[in-house]
Parts: sequence; C-alpha cells; structure tokens
Amino acid sequence: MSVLMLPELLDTKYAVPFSKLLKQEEGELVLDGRQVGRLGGLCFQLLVSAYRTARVQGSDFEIRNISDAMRENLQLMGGDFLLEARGDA
Amino acid sequence: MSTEDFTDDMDAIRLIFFDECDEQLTLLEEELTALEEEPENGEKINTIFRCVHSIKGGAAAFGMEDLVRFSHLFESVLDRFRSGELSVNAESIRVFLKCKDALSDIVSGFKNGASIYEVAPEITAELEHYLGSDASEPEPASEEAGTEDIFGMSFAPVKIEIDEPSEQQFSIVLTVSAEFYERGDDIRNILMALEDLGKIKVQVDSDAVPLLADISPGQSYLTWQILLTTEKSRESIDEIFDWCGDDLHAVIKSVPEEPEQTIIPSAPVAEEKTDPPARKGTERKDSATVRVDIQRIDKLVDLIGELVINQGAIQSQMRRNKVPGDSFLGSVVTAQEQLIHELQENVITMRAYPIKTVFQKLGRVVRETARLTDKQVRLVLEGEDTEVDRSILEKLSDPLTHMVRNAIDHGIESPEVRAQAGKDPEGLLRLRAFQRSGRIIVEIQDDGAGLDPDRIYEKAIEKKIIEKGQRLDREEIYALIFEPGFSTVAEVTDVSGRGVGMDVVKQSLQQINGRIFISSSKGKGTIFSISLPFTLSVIEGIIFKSEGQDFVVPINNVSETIIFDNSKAFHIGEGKCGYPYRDGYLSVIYAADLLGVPFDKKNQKICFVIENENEEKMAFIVDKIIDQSRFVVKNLEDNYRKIACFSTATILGDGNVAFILDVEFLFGELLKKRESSLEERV
Repeated sequence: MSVLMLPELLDTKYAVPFSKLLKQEEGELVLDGRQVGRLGGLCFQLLVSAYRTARVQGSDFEIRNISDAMRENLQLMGGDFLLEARGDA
Repeated sequence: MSTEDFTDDMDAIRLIFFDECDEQLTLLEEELTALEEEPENGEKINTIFRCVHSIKGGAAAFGMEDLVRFSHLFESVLDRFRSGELSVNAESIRVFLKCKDALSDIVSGFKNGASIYEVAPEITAELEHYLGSDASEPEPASEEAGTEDIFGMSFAPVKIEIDEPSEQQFSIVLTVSAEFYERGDDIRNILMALEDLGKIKVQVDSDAVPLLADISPGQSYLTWQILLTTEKSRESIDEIFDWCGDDLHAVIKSVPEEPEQTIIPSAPVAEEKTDPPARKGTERKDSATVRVDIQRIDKLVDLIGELVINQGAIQSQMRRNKVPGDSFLGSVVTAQEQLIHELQENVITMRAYPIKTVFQKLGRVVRETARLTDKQVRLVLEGEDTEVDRSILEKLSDPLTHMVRNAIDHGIESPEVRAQAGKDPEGLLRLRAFQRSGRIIVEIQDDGAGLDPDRIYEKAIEKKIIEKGQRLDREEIYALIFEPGFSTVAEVTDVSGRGVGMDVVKQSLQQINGRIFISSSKGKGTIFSISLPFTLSVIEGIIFKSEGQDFVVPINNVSETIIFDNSKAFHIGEGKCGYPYRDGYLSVIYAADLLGVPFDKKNQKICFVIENENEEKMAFIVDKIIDQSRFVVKNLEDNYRKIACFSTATILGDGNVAFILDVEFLFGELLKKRESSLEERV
C-alpha cells in the first residue's frame, strides 16, 4: 500500500497534475492530508471522483492525517463524507 | 492538457486577473470621485465595496496574500460605511483614495513579479482606526463569529448592529462553469463569502461527477445546495455573485415560512433555469463584452489597412484597363470599397477607449494640486464617454496632467484673491471632450486670472524668445508660452514649475497630430483647446505629383488650393520666394525642392495654401493634384528610417509608396530660412 502525500496547495493549478496522480493509482487509495493548507473546488471534485471510483470498484479510500485547514475546506464544500471515509469506501 | 499547457493557461488567467484589477481600480477611482459629490449615495459605496471584494476574490485564488489581507481590511472598513454605521466625509474619502493607491501599488507589485508586498503601516493604521476596537481586539475564531480564515490568517469580523435584526433563511443552489475556475475564481471563495454572512449548511450533489478514468480535471461537475441563515439582506447575498458573471449560476430562494427547516430544495437546478430569479444588482447588461488582446485588434487594423491597399490596387488596374465604373465588375468593386471602408471604421472603433480613463486620473491631480497650492477647485467633467483611439489616449495623459496642474497653479487664484475680485472663492476647472468635424476636441477651461499678454510679451523678450519691438497679435503672444524655456512664474513651484514647460506639452500633442489653441480673457479665465484626430491609423489627405513622385498632404493642413501663376512669384532673398495671397504674400516652398532635384518652375501649376497649428500659412507648390482620399498610414521609422519633411508614408493602389508631408517640419524649415536670411542681412 502506498500513501499519496498531498501538497500544501490543492488549488486550481494543481488539478491537472493531481488528476494524473490519482489516475495512476490502482486499487486502494490512501491520501495523507497533513500538509494541506488550502483545498480548492476542482481538487475537491477530484477527491469526490476518487471516492466514487473506489466505491464502484469496491476498493478502499481513505484520507489520513487531515490538517485543520483541509478539514475546514472539506466541510465548507460539503465534503464531510470524505472525512468519514475509512477504508470502506 | 499537459502540465506545461496548464501553466501557460494559468499565466494567461493571471494576466486576465491583472486586467480585471485595472478595470476594478479604474471603477473604484471613478466611484470614489463621484462619492465626493454625493457622500450620501449608498449605491456608490456598494460599488466601491464590490470593486475591492472582486480584487480580493481573485487575489485569493492566486495566493497573493498581501493583496488579500489589505483588501480584506479595506473591505471591512467599507462595510461599516455601507451599513450606515459610519458616515462618508472628506476625510474618509481621502483615506479611501490612499487605500485605492495602495491597492494599485500592490497589484502592480504582483504584476511585476513580487511575491510579497507590504503596505505602508500608516495606511493600515488609518483603516484600523475606522474599525476601532474590532481591529485591535479581534474576537476569537469561531463559527459563530463568522471569522474568515485566509491563508491561516484570522480576520476579525465586522460586527454591525442594526435595530433588532431578524434572521432569515435562504436556499441557494450553485453551479459553476469551467470558465469560473479558468478566470482564477474558486467555489471555495464563494462559500467562504456566504459563510461570512451567517450560518451555512452545505450539501454537495456529486451525482454528475465521472469516475477518475473519465474525469476532465478542468471541468466542473458539482452542484452545491446551501441553506444560509443570516441577518443580512438578500442584496448582501446578491453582491457575492455580482462579480461572478455568467460563469456561476445561482438560484436563491427565501425560506421565510420554515425557519427551522434544514431541507435543501430538491428541485433540479436545470428546472430552475426556466425561472431565473429577479436579482437586484446582479442583472447582466444587455451589451455583453468579450475581452480581446489589444495586439489582436492592432493586427486586425493592420490587416484591414492591407485590404484597403489591395482594394486601391484593384481600382488602379481597372483604370489602366479602362474598365467602366458602371460595369458589373465596377459596381462590385465599388460596393466592396464601401464594405471595406465600413469594416475599417468599425475595427478602428474597437480600439477606441472613452476619454474618462484619462479624465479620472486628472481628478486626483486636481485634488492634489489644489491641496499643495492651498486653492479651492471644483472640477467639472463633460463628455467623458467621448472615445479616442488607444494610441492617442496613451499619449494624452501626460500633457493633460501638466496643463491641469498649470491651470490650478498659475491660472486659478487663491481663495482670498478671488474673494477680493468678487469671484467665488472656489475656482472652476472644466474638462470637456467632444467631437467636431471628425476630430476630438478636449478643452481645459479655468475661471482664473486669464493670460496677461503684456507680461507674456515682456517675458518673451527677457528670455530672448522674441526681439524687442517685434509686432505680434494677441494669439501669437499667447502662443509664446509654448516656446522652450518660457515661464512667467518667478519661483519654481512644487506643482508645475519643474522645468518641463508648455513646449513639452506642445511637442507631445504634435506626436499624436494634435493641435492646441488658446483663448483667454484677463480676469475671467482661459480655455486651452486641443484638437486631436480620432485615429492615427488612417489619414484623410490630398495626393499630388511633383517631378513624377507621389506625395500626400494631410487635408487638415490644407486651407485652400489655388492655381499657381509662376510669373507672380517674386524673390525675397537668396533662394527664397514670395507669392501674393489676398492682401499680403506667402512664403513659397516648392515640393520638388524636397527631392533635391533640378526642376522647371514653369511646370509648377498648383499652390496648396497650407497652415500649421499656429495658423501660419505658406504656399506649397506642386505639379498636379491626383485625388483626395483616405490613406492607411505606415510608420516610416518602423519600416525604413526617419526622413526629414515626411512624417509617415502610405502604399498606393499601384504598389508605389507615397510619403506623407510633415507640415510642422516644413514650417520649422521655413523659420530657419527666415532666421538665416536675417543673420545674412545683419
């Protein structure tokens, strides 16, 4: 299992590279959000897509070590369900 | 899309953001100036708030923390004025203008590559002064307090006490387009702004989001359903969406009957689209605009210029081949000429900007100059929507600034002097723009002391600009102020006596084919009237031949065309001729002389009476007139090199190049001849 360390800025500029990284991942997806200082709408959407993909594929999805900023941003955008996703996506 | 492409796109978006900042700052300045006149106008302060808010929104998307921080502070202060808690007065407008300057500086700093930009602490202190205890003692961050967190910084909320505020609930359904993100915005900013208004509950509808394999990272698939509980009005919500344009679709509904209900309306957004909400202040203007790079417009102007030249070539060939004008081909070509002409005029209009962009800057100049000189000045602007070609407008700002400073420093008297003279202690400065005879006229009028012709005349002698006893009429005396080194003020002032005189103003205006006229009445005031072409791309002129070569003289410089009778020409000195004209005579210049080739004066048949901006006249002798037309101007220096006597050139229908006369240069040459003749006689 590999852990994808999320960068500080998950903003619009990062959406394309983030999409590529997520698409490269196969099976279980574990993300580490300790460094995240800002989460924008497009990257949030990619997280949602990754979550939905994991659900469809029956694989695990988890975001670990969620920083306060990432938590606030996820809640702000209605992504509470991503906070709760723990290996049972 | 590759990462490199994306970076390029982001750079382009960044540039668009800076363009939008410029627009917002211009509007900000305009509204602040208007607010001075109408301090009670709440709509003005709302617009000012929105300008600052827009800049903040974009800055946040690009991580420009200092810009976000300062605009947030400014916005918080404006909110207090907007809510009526504080009242607008001269002092607050002064602070706002300072803040606008600071915003401009920060934007400019980031535009030039800075990553941090510190605002002068005294400006921040002035803003914080308006926030009072809220600024010095920020409340702890909490959801209840609605604290905004931007880049880890907590901003104190602005608490506004309104009589017995009552909470309302609004359901808001939001969708955004890909363009919303492309222009640097983010749904996060919108939700944060809504959170600022009160409590929000957000549900995201992710049904439309594709799986990872199919998702396009730049597209937007989500829909947000928000329940907002707030004490703020519906207008406060609308303002958040004001600057989003068509890239964000918001359906807002009040939920007055169900204050406890947390159910978000389940009606699909698509169905709501058929019933757009009547949103005050968010209505889009009917005249939609598209942002186009100015270089593309310039290229289009150039291409249409080439089209005009090609059209001329077709007509030239038709004449050579004796194709009748009333033939089918002739009528098609004539119709095409008309279409190209219309196309050219339309494209040139696309490059036109309203002169208000220059006038607004002058409002600041007036205020500052009045303050420095302890004078009271009321500025009146007229015809701000008059449009001028961008290339002209860019070069108009400096001379106008200098003239406005001069008008206040040297023209308008001090309040005491004005009162003694029975005038209103407050001087009047009127800037007016309008169109006349296909040219743009800009007037700078003051009701000051007026020009003193005796004093100007004496000063000109003292400065050795003219000789003692030289006879000049009033207009010629006024024109002396445009001579290099002329100044009637004994002391160099901080305002206008900086060694840069009206001669520089005149030169700057000449570069854009402008002419300046003065009318003045002692004790009553002065009007400087600037006449400008609408564009520098096309010139109306008369094409003529001299020794087989084609030339063009600008029609604006031709006051009359007469048949030249060589037998009436007379010698007035070495190589110089005069020609009788009405009650006097004109100095003569032969066009063939400009070519430096021997020629027979008997072949010279046509005399153009040409005049410069001082209305001096001369006889300009040519072989024959070919036609009068509009010519596409080509810069000589860009395409070849500077040639004396000729300002620019044009390409004719037959492919030949015709030089366009630099009439001011010709008069300068004539003056030199006069001076050398005078020296010879001495």
